[in-house]
Amino acid sequence: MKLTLKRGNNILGMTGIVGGMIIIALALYQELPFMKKELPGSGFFPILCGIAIAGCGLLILIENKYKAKKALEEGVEDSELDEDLVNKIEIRNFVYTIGISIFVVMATPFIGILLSIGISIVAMIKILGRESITKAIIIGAVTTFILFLIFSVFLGVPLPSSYIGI
Amino acid sequence: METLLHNLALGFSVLANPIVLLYAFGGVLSGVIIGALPGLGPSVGIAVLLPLTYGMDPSAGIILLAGIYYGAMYGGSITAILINTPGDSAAVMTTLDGYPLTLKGQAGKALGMAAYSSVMGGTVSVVAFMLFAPIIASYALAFGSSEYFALMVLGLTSIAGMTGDSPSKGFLAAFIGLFISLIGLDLVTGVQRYVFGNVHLFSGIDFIPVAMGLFGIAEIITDKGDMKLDIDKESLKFRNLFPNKQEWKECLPHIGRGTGLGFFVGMLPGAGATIASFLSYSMAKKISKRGDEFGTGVLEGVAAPESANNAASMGAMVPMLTLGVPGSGSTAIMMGALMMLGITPGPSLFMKEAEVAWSLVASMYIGNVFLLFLGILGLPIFVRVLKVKAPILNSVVLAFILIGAYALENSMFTVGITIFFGVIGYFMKKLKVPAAPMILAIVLGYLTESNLRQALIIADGSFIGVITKPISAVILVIALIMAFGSPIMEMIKKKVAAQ
Repeated sequence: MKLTLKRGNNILGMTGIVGGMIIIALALYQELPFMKKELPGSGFFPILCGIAIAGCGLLILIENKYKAKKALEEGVEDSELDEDLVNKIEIRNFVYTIGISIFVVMATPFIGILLSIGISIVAMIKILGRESITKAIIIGAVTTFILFLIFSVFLGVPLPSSYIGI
Repeated sequence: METLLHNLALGFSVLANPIVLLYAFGGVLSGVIIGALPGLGPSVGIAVLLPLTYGMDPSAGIILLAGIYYGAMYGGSITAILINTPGDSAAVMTTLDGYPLTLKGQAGKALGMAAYSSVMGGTVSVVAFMLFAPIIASYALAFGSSEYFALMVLGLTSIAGMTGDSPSKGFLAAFIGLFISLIGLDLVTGVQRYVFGNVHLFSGIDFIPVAMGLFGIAEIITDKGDMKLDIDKESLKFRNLFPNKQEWKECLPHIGRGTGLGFFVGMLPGAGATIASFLSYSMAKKISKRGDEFGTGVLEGVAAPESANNAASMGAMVPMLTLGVPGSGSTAIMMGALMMLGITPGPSLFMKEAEVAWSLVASMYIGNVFLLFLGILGLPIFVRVLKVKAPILNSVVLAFILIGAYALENSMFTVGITIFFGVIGYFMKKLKVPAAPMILAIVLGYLTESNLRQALIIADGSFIGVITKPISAVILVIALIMAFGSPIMEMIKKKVAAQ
């Protein structure tokens, strides 16, 4: 199934409406009062935001429908709304970038943040760049060392280390 | 005048510290490199390099970020001229004549003119900034909470209404940002909002991991790959970067007009450098004797938008520093950074934090000298940077983002938030939902809510009382025009045309 801008806009609009309603429902669930002693309570802004988000979602749906109808009336075949939103390169980038980032979060408690980041750089260069492993390791090591100097030495950030102290 | 010079001297005294000077240079250098890389505009640059300012002296921190900001504004023109790919949206107009000049073998001259006009536009705008900012700040001192609430609404509506193709998507982003800013403890009543027992959320969600995710990670995912650079090296030699006397004569008036226009457009919330460069190019095309040749490779077509976009970047700092209302994504991140460094932008900044404010002004003068120096002498280095393969560059940027996110609160939870907003940012980009209104709303969210609540307390709970105060009413009417003016005008035009 092709994910076009038209379909994406419909999903966005629906998500906005549902999201806005969830925000309002959660405000009520948490007993955040809209008004308290004739003044705005802690639920005032969240509920307004929920209504506004749902309203924007509805507007996006209407606008999308209007644009699609207009394109049909004018006989435009390849309108902006029919363009495919995702391509193979982006799906690959998405999977690897997010996957590698999640790896850093998961691996940090075990091998420390610097080592996890070093491995992630090597992996990203090797997989997405198809560079030689030697080049990837050199870049990974140099970058990790520079990050160590900036954050640990210069800024004094206590970076989480591994069991072996790196 | 004497006070002005005294204040400026105070600013320059901060810059006498070689470390601060080094930050200014580092900021401009990184800005030019970041700006030159397609997709990585000033917002991404500031968001990614923000962690460098943790624990820094506020003056040094803001000088570094400002350097990145105007460095990136110039940097965007390098790829616009060399490979017809603007580094950021503000450099789009530069491609129209910049790239044809490269095809004619005059890339050096186009890049040289881009550097000179950017520096001239930037320097003259700093003078205007120095004169205007304290005056606006002195007027804004009379503002109360209802006027501030109105100003925040103006900032949000203008950026939401004018960014991107669809105002409804801009507003959706702004309201989601406002909602995110509400997560955490309600500072008025102490009630937990949308925390659900998660201790990491008690202090709320900071705008920095959100900005790093929305701008940085999303950009890495949508990266199109390596650029193909095919440049005549001879044209980039030092002697070829200088326009001749006749070319100067033709370009200088456009630089002057572009600077004036850019500065004032830049001051308008939401308008920014992109609109300034577009207007300046259109004006130059209409006024120039060679108007018909625009688009075929004339230097005036580079000078006009480049002077305007750098002037606009200075102009955009006026509302941010004097009123505490940033008008663009980049200035919103800079404002958040200032608040992180313990400085609250607003009318009292020039009195309470005179050293920070005036050192920033002084740094802009020095920064423009650095920009000229780098623009001319550093060009071969920037061209080499463009040859770095995309996966290598992206892996380094991602590493910087992840460790920077961790360093913010020494917590992996913040890294998780950055990744989450990276995913959201990717989908927002694909669906053409602008990210800048969301960032601006997160930065302004708390201030907007607290000012409205304070104003309502003062007005005995009467909302009408808040919005009908003369200054608030005027600002809110402008906000409404900014938000709904262009769609209404379009509808009217269509109806008139149909009749």
